[in-house]
Amino acid sequence: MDRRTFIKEGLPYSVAGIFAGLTIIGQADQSGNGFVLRPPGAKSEKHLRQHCVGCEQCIHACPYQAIRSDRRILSGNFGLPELVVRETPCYMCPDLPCINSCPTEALDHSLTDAFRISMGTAVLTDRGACLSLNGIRCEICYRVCPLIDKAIVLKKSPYRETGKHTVFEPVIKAESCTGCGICEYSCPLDQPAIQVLASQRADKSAHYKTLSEQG
Amino acid sequence: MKKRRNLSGYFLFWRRLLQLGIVLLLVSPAAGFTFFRGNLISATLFGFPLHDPLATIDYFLAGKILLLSFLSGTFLVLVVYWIFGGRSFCSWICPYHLISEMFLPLHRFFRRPKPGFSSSQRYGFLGGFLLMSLILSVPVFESVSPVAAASQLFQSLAESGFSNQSVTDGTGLASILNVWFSGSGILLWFVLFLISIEVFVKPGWWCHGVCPVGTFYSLLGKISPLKITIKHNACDNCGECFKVCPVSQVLIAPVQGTANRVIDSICTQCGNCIDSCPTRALNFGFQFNRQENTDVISSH
Ligand code: SF4
Ligand code: SF4
Ligand code: SF4
Ligand code: SF4
Ligand code: SF4
Repeated sequence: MDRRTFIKEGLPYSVAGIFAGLTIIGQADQSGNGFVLRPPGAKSEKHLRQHCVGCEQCIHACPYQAIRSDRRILSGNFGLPELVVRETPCYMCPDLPCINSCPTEALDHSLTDAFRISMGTAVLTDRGACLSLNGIRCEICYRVCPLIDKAIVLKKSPYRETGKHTVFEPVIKAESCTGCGICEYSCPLDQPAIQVLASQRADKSAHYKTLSEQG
Repeated sequence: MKKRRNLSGYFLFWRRLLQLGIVLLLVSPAAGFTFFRGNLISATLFGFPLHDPLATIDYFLAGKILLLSFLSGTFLVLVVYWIFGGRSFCSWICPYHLISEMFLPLHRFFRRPKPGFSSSQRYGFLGGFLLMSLILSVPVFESVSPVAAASQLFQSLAESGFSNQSVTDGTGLASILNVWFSGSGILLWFVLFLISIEVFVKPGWWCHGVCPVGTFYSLLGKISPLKITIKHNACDNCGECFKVCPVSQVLIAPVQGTANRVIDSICTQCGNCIDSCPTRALNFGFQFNRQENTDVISSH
């Protein structure tokens, strides 16, 4: 076999090898990189990757166009549906068109109550920047939350700087928060002080409590 | 002198029309229509589920699951492509094939020789992809499929055209650049990468040499009644059909007279050969009696 035929015949196989390699790299990278929110009903990254065929039906079914395709090719999650809530949050449709449109088991069809969505958990990640903690009565995240007074409550405490004001601190109740991201979407700061962390990262017991119980 | 008149683009016209229709269907969700959602892996059209049979197999292997709800949508698709000759999907529906065809003039420019395609290589890729899905528990082909990539490419181009919400400055060019260089841009580079292999290495390399979807449909085509038929007394061996056929190897037997139809189901049922034939020796034909094939091709 001369060099020319070698390149001609071998190229397809090397490309296939690259595909295979990418998939294997993706398998190893189970942790995911950054905060990636998956649509309502997605059980875990691993389960979604196993069951999602990338048909985009959930993407097209969402009336708010909140879902899009994951385009990070090296993550091994290429083509999986994701939400970037700072751009468009999930508005928790009562009829869950996203789950109902999914032909596979990628999205959990037994989830029928939008209030039981659990895509992640909001965390007040930037306490220094949050207007409410700085004595200003912003509280936007609290007002917009579809589970107001369940997923977010306001905790009153004296404002140390003046000794006269009350601070109304937004505190997230991890058990009720669906991770819809309406709070993150609505935070008026340039960088949102409240962010939804993917479920497996916003460890509901440890991480969340240490943050909300500070100060 | 024999009067020479071919169909000059009759089937090509209908094929382009259907291909265009499919692209419009694929971008319809981006334009705000709701009668269609999904892509060529799996979709819902007017409430009817449609599943690519290969994607169904791949999903069952990866998900280690047998979803009965899948079967009706898969069956429907299987029946349609069984009737229409298997790889009719490739030349009449597939958006990647459409893009690939748009680069055909480049092949002529580079005077590329007509390639041959080995079926063992194609079966190898089909088996390899299915095996990878089984082992890795991920529907592997669906995540790297140029068929899906091409349709998503059209979709994201359309999205950037239909909405200025995702781009800050909203001008047409900026939104197109946004699609090209971030996020969905990877689709473009991926499709162009495959196209460049086809242009510089081997025309039709992906579609006829690798693509497991094409291979699957070619297997289905083996039992399909629809074939290209030839009237041997009309064929004067001019070789026009060879020039336009993407997989010209399939025409050797019928034109040489050892078969009365195109037997090799790698034929994409594109109809190019029918359009090109000056004596109208070729045509589509339904043949349910398969015995007749084997009689004629005894020398094959
Ligand atoms: S619940 Fe509604 S808004 Fe949220 S992702 Fe599903 S379809 Fe979109
Ligand atoms: S509808 Fe289901 S299978 Fe299709 S892209 Fe969404 S999650 Fe994946
Ligand atoms: S993500 Fe924010 S808005 Fe949504 S439920 Fe949780 S706290 Fe409420
Ligand atoms: S919207 Fe942002 S700034 Fe306002 S209270 Fe909530 S986290 Fe703080
Ligand atoms: S034999 Fe005719 S229909 Fe089949 S691929 Fe070739 S040109 Fe197309």
